[in-house]
Amino acid sequence: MQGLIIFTIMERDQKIQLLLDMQEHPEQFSEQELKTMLDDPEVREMMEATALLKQAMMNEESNVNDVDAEWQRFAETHLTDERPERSWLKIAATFIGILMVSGIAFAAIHIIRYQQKSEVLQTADSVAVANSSLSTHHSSLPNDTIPPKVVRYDESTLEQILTDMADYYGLTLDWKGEEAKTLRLFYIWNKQQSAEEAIRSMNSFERISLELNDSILTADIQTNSPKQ
Amino acid sequence: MKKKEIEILFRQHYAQMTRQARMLLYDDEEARDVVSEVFATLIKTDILPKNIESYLMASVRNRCLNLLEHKDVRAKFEHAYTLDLRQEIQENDEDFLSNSVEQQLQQIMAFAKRQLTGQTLMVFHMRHIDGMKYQEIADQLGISRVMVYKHLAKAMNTIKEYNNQKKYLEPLDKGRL
Repeated sequence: MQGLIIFTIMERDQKIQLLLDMQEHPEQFSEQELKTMLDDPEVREMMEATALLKQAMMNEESNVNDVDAEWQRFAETHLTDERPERSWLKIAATFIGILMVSGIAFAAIHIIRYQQKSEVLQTADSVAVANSSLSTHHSSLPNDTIPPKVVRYDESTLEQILTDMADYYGLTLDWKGEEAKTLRLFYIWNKQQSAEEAIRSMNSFERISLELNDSILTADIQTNSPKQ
Repeated sequence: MKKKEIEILFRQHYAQMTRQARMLLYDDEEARDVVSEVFATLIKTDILPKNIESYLMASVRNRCLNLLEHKDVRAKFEHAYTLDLRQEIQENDEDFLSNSVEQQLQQIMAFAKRQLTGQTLMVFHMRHIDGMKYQEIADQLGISRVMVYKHLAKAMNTIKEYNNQKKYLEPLDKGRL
């Protein structure tokens, strides 16, 4: 209490000195001492002055140039699970991923079968192709949830798939071997993809090797024959 | 609200909202968090008021004031908050929303640059914006601790005088209008 009385009769410079000390080390003063300081009109004026100059400095320096980065930060923390269309895309991506894995398996199985029983499979393939509405025109499954821009190939030959793609993207096909044409796959082609994206997607299949140079799409497959 | 709508509002108002929050809280990270919280509430909001700018700025202000209210006396003291802040802001609500506050702060800064030396401004900045201790400032600038006190006292007194003059002149200005 004595300290408080002394404070009220302090000279201005002494008050400033004490104020500065209190600002740096408020933990060294009791709550009551701090309140008493803040109740003093002169100290309050100095506190206001400090606050004003701080605000003025911060105002001068506040320059949010990188709103893009701030938006990204916000979107990542607050919006990742909020978009239903995003969730749908995730589901679709997972679905396509599963299909692609299945496609690899299908392709591998069919290549082996085709090589072993070429004559029998020719007949069987023609039946399978005939059964599939994809052979002559791409079934876009109008009653399905898949958008019309997506074409589903069910055990179709690589020749058929790449011919469609080449037509659609305006590319010239260059086959490195006849064997590549006969590879069969289960594949979903999203026509909204660019040619490069579609080719990249196809290249994710084992054995398929596609290259695009100046509108020429070169197709090849890697042989499985072991090196001797 | 849809993401696209929030993004448009974010890009339009983020800078202004952050500036306001920073001026109240004196803390960049806290200010950004407050503004993010305001936008986060918009995600769950379907209907917005007509004056979206006022709504956003008021939301920032209220959140800042709530934060300040929960700071103890020590924190207020350390950061030079004035206890009357809340009352002043509520009294001058319209002013605070307008650009006039920014203009006033620019005037104060221009005045400070005219009246204070570069070193005084630097000491003030190091202490109150960078949060350095007196001894650290003294060591870095190669001056005594007493000189650091003097620079800070000079800055406070100069702005206090400016503030008092302004308070005295404001009623005259209003009287002329």
